[in-house]
Amino acid sequence: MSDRDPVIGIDLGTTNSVVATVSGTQPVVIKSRTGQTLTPSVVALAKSGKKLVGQIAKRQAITNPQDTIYAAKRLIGRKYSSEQVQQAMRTLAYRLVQGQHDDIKVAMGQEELSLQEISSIVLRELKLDAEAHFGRPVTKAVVTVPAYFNDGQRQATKDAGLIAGLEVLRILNEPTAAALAYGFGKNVRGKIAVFDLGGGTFDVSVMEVGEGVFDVIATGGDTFLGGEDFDSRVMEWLVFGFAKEHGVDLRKDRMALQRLKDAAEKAKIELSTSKESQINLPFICTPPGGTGALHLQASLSREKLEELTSDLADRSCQIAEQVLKEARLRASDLKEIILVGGMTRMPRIAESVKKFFGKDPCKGVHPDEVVALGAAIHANSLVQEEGQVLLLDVTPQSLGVAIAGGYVRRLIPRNTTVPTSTTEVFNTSKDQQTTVKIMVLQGENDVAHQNELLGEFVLTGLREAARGVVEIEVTFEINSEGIVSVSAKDKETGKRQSITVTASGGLTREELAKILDQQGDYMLEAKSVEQVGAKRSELESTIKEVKELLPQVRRLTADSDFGRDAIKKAEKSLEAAAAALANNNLSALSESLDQLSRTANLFRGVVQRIGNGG
Amino acid sequence: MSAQRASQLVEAGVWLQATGDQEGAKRLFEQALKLDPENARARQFLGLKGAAPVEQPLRGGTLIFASEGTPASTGTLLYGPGAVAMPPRPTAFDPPAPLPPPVDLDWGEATGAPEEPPAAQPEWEFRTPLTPSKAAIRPDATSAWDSGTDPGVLVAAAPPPTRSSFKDPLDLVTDGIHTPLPMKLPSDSQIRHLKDELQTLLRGARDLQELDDHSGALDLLTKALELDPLHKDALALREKSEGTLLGSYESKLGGMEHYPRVILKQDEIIWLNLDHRAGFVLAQIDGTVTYDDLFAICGMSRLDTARILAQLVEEGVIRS
Repeated sequence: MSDRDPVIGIDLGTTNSVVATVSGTQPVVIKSRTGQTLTPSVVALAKSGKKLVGQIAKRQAITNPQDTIYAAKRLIGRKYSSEQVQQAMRTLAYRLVQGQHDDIKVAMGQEELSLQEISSIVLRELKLDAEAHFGRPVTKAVVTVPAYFNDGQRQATKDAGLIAGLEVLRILNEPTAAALAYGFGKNVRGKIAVFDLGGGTFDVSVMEVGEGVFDVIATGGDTFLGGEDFDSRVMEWLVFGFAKEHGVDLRKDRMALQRLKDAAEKAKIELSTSKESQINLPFICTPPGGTGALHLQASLSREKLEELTSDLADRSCQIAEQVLKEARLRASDLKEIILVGGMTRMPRIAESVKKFFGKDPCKGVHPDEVVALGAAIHANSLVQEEGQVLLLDVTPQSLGVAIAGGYVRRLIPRNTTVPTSTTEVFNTSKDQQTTVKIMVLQGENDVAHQNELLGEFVLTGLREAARGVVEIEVTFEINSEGIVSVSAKDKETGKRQSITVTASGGLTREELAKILDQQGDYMLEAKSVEQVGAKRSELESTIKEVKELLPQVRRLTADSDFGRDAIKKAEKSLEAAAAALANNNLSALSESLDQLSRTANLFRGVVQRIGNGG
Repeated sequence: MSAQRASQLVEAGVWLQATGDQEGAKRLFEQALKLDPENARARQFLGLKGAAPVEQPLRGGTLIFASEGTPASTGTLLYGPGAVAMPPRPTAFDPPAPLPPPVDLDWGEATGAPEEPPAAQPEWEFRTPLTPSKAAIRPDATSAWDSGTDPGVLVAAAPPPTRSSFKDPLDLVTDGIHTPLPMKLPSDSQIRHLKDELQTLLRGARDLQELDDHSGALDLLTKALELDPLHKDALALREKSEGTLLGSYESKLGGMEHYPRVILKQDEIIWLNLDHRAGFVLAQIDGTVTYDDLFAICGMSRLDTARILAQLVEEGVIRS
């Protein structure tokens, strides 16, 4: 094992996340501490007050909807007032709050957390899994994001990593990571498609791969199409069947719904490898006025699942068709097709993809893990002293400046390989104009205000002249880290102004610093939770011991004043211990433990001396 | 004084019996007999010689006399003449009841003629569908389970949950069967009666606590708090009982960090007499979650979860 600090690759997904590393020469997925390869990207505050992450948070998502935060990735780095966020709010069970600068906060219990903090909780969980795997701290990671993420969303993801205690070496496009996992760029050159049907979103990307270049030619998809829709269809079928059979609508009972959701997902996964799945949910509900709880027992065939979800499978291919059309490509132009996301394991999806693209998709890498494995490969190459693979990424969206009339002039089109630079000359739009405002925009819309404003600055001291006479040279530069520098120069006077646009994920530097400070407090809190747990455990075993000794002491000290007093005190101590356990407070637990430990000592002495005839 | 106290104990016992706690009621009747060995009602409820005629409690604790020989099977009380049967208090581990008929339909085959499609879609939906979900259900399907026919459910579809409307998810299944009654201020005599009733319940609860029957005490205290939700004594007594019960249940589980496992097989489990709450808790136990996790994910009060878990352990359904 090398002494080099371990590095990891993280696929931070909408529904599930995966962490991987390179062991020797092989990329491998790091299993969670509970032995799972996937960690649901879900964070919750249980009614008991406990913070939950991953699988356990997912398992109570339906019964505790308002305090369970899922699909944070759909919102991260976006403005609260944006159409996408307003649209998403209609379907979210948890509450979003507008931040001070139109950023998004999520209400969870009494707290309001930024999406970066929510994502950081998932990232921290993956970091801890990696640390458990390596047996030492892990601080460096490559994190993947969808190809269509803008700079703000990328920066927000970086910030989430920072809050989680990770130095994000690079933000990598998910399709690029998938292609890296298959070794493309070396053994395959040309155009490839990445068909990514995950738990909650669907993305199709077409890429041109070459020596170290992964150029995303086109990307498209549907942020509301994924495995959960397939689960919902199975749930609907189960609910409907149960209602027909028993006249009871299970949708009224969130406990039943939670079990249905878990069972539907499990059956769907099983049907990827078998023809039939048995669904058994005993005691699913107690009907009003009913005599006993009812059981749900059903058998779901692969054929039936395909019938229930055929429109979803068809829709994914329709979207792929649109993306190809946008890239002015035919399916036959593609050299390889990569499947990403657990849903692509469904035979019907794999068949649809094969039929649509006219070729077998790549096999060999697990579609759930392929992105994380690619991220791990890239992370490894970044820290290797020799043989580093130069990976060039592209601008996710076009960059330009606002021009007269409220429109945009694009200087760097999307999918331009970075690093890049370009210069264009503009003229003043008014007579005697002495200042010009340069507004740096990112996006694809022709109307300025429909794009993301990355930054602005003013160039002053222009020569007074008729409009169109003064020439201003505007230069855009993007370095390999994705940092954008924009400068404007008065060609005549040489006077120059510039700005470096550091993308904002919604948090200011001050806010980020404050959160990082609070992390220290969080670590203390976590330690305190650990102490409470240990104290509880100790108290529970002392209670058990005292309860076991009590009848013996009662018998041995019968009719003595000492016995009566001691037993009375012991009973009071037991009562206090039960109350302390219920309150879950460290000082109360400690106090009660001290008290009860004295009783236990006393009782042990009594049993030893009197019981043994001493 | 003893006779009056005994009478109060009997009253409390009747309450307990009405909530299905036969054991707790029996203890109170026995306690009443200790204070007043001639108490006819206590003797009658205990089935002893010299008992009063068989009496049947009314809702609210008032009693009326029914004719002798009225069957008084365990867990079934008759509320006045004509009578509505009250089911026994649902406990997770009553002796196994006969299994409901198995849901053993052929889910892919026809079981009846398709009915008319539902007039309106329920407001609730799992998530925004991309296309109408009905498109996935073949209109020509003939199976009851597969067709898009009206399932004819008893319970109307619920609106999407909101923060204010959300409550214990386990109680949702019984939603919709309670109709809110118009508010009516009680008269002075009613208030006096309620106060007396409250005091009776509190005394009963204290007695039961002394007898270490905290479960029975909680039943009485729940009733008392229904009458006066902010009653300090009732709240304090409830806290004491809950704390004691919780300690007792949790001590049966061992450490909170233990990972419970289901010991019984699936086909054995369905023979148990569980309610849907216990069914839910049992479904969460898969060997990957600790007791502590279960308290967090079950969504019930800690006491309810602990009670179910302790019962599952006692019955040998699960093991750490």
